[in-house]
Amino acid sequence: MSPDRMQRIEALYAETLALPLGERDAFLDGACGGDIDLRHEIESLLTYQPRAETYMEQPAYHQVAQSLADGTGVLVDRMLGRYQLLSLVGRGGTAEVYCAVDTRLNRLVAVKVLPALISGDRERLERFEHEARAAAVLSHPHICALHDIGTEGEMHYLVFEYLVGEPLSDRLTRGALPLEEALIYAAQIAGALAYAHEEGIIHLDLKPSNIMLMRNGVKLFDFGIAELRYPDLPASPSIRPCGTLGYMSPEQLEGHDTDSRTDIFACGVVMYEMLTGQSAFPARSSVEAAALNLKHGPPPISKLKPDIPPTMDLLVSRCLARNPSERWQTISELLFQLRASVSGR
Amino acid sequence: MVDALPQDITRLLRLWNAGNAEALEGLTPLVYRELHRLAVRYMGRERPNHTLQATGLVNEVFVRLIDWQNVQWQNRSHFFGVSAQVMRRILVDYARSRLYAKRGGKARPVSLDEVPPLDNNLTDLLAVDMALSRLAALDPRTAQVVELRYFGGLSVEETAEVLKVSSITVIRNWNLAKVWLLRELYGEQKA
Repeated sequence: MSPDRMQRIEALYAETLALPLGERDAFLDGACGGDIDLRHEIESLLTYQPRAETYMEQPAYHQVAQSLADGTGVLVDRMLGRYQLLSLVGRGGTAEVYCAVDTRLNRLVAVKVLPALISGDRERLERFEHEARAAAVLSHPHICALHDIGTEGEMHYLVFEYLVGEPLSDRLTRGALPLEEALIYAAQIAGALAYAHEEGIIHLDLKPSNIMLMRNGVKLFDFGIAELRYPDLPASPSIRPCGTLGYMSPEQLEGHDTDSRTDIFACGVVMYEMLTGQSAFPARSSVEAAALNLKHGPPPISKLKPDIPPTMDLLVSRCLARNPSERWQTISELLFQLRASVSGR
Repeated sequence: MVDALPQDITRLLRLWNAGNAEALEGLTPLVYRELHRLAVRYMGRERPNHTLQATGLVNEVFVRLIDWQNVQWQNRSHFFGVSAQVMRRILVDYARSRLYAKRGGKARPVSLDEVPPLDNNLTDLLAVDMALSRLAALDPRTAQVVELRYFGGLSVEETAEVLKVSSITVIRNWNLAKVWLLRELYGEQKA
């Protein structure tokens, strides 16, 4: 296109824009004459006019600053203790997670920086540190290791093993997993839980976004640290993040005591979703809706996926029993059944 | 970092304008610091009464720091023009380095990446920069309007002053530039 042509387009565009919508067609008929390309060009540009009204309203540097605030986190390039933060890799709604270098051991780690709300509350901070110390003893091939906890100024942070993989939640957006794969992952998840339960630690927030799929299996993270789950939890439980609601057990929703069987319930919900590609308890937008939802269990797996053996129905539905005493009583029991299913295939 | 003195900034802008690419290195930290300061404000971590102003970074960084008295710029508009070019370069370099850091930069593998809106914003910025170079071949002045307004953060009036045209012309150029760029970025769409 020649610069002259561009000038012509610009003039015509401005004139067209100045007219009421109803008069534009007639005007362009006259102004473009038989020049179909010109007419097409103006019309093509006009389709973007509504979007252009708010486009580039702010200078580019605001856009960059906003991205920094939204995405990169302001801590990039900072040193927290011996950890140099490289880039923001995730935000759990609760804390910011950075990819960082452990400058002493020269390896990559994931640094989770606690929200100010926890850091500013001494009681919660103590509880958090207590829980973190407990979780730090866990050492298992399918549990993301907690390496360190630290404080820098007013900032408190956790240092985890750095994982390269895909969260199960992302994988599930593409539908169900093949049965074979789902069973292997389920056995690994149950194995990790069995180990942790023996160490006296309950996860209490098992869900697909806390499970990383890696080349050689799964890793569970955010083990047993309650303060990481609801850092902004006010007195009213109805404001709990709904992302987790779909995986909470009846006893959690109703505020009753939790134990290792709470993890068994969550494990069932995760298995159900891996096998069917559908959430067992969808549309839990509030605690009330979730409670209602729990009364009626999800449709049987074999109904949604006829090729899945009915034994899996039994296995999963027993995890999902409303009453903890009707579930598998230990994760080892579930694990035993799972392994039997895997080897029986 | 030692604060740059007003006469340094002026000198650096002049050097850069004269073709000295290294001068950019001296100006970059100033812009970076301002970006981070603004980001912190966006995150609401500053006093709530500290209101955001949509003034250009050129104003925030350069104008208030420049030594107007002792350095004879040809005129104000020349200075604005050069500053906007510098801003464009720095912002584009910045966006590029951020994106590379997230997308397979050597020491920074991407994994837990939840693809924050960051990528969209910065990708958009880079796409605008490239499309703008194409626009400049067709219509240099319209492209300059975008450089001054979008990258330099200048008002319509300031842009008109720099280009020595009327405000109406700037608005016309600006309107066309926006739809043209949007179409470049997102492709033809059905009416």
